[in-house]
Amino acid sequence: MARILLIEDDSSIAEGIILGLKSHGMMVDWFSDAKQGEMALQEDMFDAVLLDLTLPKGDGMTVLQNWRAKHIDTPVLIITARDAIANRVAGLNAGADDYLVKPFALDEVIARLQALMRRSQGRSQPEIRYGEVAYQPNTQQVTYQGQVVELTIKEVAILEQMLTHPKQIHSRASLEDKLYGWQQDIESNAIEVHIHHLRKKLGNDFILTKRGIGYYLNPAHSRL
Amino acid sequence: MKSIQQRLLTSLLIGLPLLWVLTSGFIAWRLWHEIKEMNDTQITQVARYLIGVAPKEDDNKNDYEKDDSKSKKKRPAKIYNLNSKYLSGDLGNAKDDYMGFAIWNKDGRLLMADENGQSFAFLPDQHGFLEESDSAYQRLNPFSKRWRLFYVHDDHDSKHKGRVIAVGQNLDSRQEMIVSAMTVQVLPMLIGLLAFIGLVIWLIRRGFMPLTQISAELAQRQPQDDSPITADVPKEIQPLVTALNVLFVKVAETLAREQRFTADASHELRSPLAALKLQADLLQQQLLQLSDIEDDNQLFYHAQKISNGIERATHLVDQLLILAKIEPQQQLPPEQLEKPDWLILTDIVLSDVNRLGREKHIQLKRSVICDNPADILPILINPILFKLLIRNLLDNAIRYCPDGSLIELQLDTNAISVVDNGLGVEPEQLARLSERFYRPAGQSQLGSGLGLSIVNRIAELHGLTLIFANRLPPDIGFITSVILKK
Repeated sequence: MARILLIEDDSSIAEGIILGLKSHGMMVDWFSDAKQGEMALQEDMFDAVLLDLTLPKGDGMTVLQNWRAKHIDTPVLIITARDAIANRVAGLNAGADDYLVKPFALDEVIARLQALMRRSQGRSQPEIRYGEVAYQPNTQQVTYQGQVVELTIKEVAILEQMLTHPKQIHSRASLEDKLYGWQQDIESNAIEVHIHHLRKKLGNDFILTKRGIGYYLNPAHSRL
Repeated sequence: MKSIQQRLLTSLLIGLPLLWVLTSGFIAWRLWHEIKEMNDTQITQVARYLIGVAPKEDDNKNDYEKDDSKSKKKRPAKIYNLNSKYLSGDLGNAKDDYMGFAIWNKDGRLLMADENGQSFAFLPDQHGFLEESDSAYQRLNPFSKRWRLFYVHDDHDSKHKGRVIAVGQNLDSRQEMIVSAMTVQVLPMLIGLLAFIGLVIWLIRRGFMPLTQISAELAQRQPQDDSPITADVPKEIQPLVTALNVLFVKVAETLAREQRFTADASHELRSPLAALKLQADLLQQQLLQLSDIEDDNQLFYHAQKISNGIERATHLVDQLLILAKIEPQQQLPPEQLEKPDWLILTDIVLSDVNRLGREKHIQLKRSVICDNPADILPILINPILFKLLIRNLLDNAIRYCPDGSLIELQLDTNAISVVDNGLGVEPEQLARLSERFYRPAGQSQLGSGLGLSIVNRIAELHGLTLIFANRLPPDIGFITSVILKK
């Protein structure tokens, strides 16, 4: 289980992140000031760090610089309200691995954290599992209940989008955007057709519809 | 407003030649007068000598030509010229046609004359200088040879009573003399004048150099620059420069304070929004877990509304902060500028806004109007700001066009335009569109009314003008363009 160090002084943000990460199977240790946060990180204790920059008793940038000076290489994702380009560049130059400007979506924090951990562990494309469905991003192979399922390219693209952002509702427009980009026009019911085919191949209740809003993976399956 | 330098130069360049003309005029007038006086004196002097030395009518017979000895009465006059045997030695630059004289007896018989004098008329009633108004003067001065003539009557010597002596001076020669005298005077003065004018221009330019230098420095200056002016200025301007230097520091401080405020504000505004957004995300996720509950649609609808509200506030904060950052800038720092690949850049922006378009079934299109994509708007840009500009234009078009519209991003050599086939904008609202927080009444769309203000500012920073127009009939729709300033 991944262990995350969170250094953030705003308690309601911290609580939100902690709850969100927990629901994605991550353990979170939270510190609310720069001194404690800096002390908390010793070699190999955490898989990744979420670091706010504006902190009591110090600045996030200094904390980060001190860690890197001590050759602590734990991946760091900066979460901050400072959005100027100069700030981003300074952050990345100081040794941060990624930079996220507040306010952010929970999904994005999780996706980026997972990407950072994958990269630090040398795995750039792991298998994604959701219940009985498994997906290999590098080969684009999908298995259901251990059996390989033949999917069209568009179906794979939709499935990949939903598997990489599992706890989110995907609107038809957002899926169309992922599939076709801005240049192509599509028939109005193309997504419906693809979803229909995916349900036939992966089980009728694997993808659910929230009427008028979009599609999402059945949460009941994630626990399997 | 004219510059002091221009004003000085204009008045000096008009005044100096005027003064010069007046001075030269006065000198010429005096010279003319003096030369006339001198020459007239000379003429009367010659006349005086002639009275003394002129031959008596009957003696000195040897002086007369003797070839005709039959009749003394018909003896011709003795004629002199400079080359005659009576003058010898170096004649210098003497000219023969300069002066002339003639002597007649009282009956008008020419006794003696030089070459020029032969043509003089015998005027028994004339005394002194022949004036221009006299009829004889007209007669004696036909076209080319004009003479100033002086007549004197030898009345003192009883023996030769009534002799008339005329001495004349060639006026051409006199004029030549005056002209050459004046040329000698005026030419060096003219050269002097030109040199003086050149010197004046150079000195004034040089004198104003520190001011020109300061102007150039000020024009290039960034508002946040608080370094003092480095130009070496004269003592008179030093107080001004000192005051400016103090002002620079103040302005830079104010700007820095404002930027600190913007940074603080962005932190203070974004943190609560971030917290809210996280909670709304969590709420939605948990509602999804409850998907087996039949009537959760209503709950999910509320959660969705909260998300939308947060998104709207986030958008407003973003726009405000962007505006606060770019508003005080006078120009974009050169190190942030680069030559864009318009196709790649617009691809990114079109992809960004595509989802918004898809939700309304709006089709996005890009057309390159000019023949060669390399000719598209050849300017250096700040890519981040320019993406924001195009994004805001497309965003607006998508928001305010009805479902199923077509929105075209047109790239041309001097402009980038967004053309839609929507409803257009009421003419009276056109002028107010880029005002801050202005939104036409009755909008159902999300928005802050700041988007076009930002577009306007970014366009200005790139030397572009933002213009709005409805499409001309029969087409309907709206055009927003950023155009290269001519």
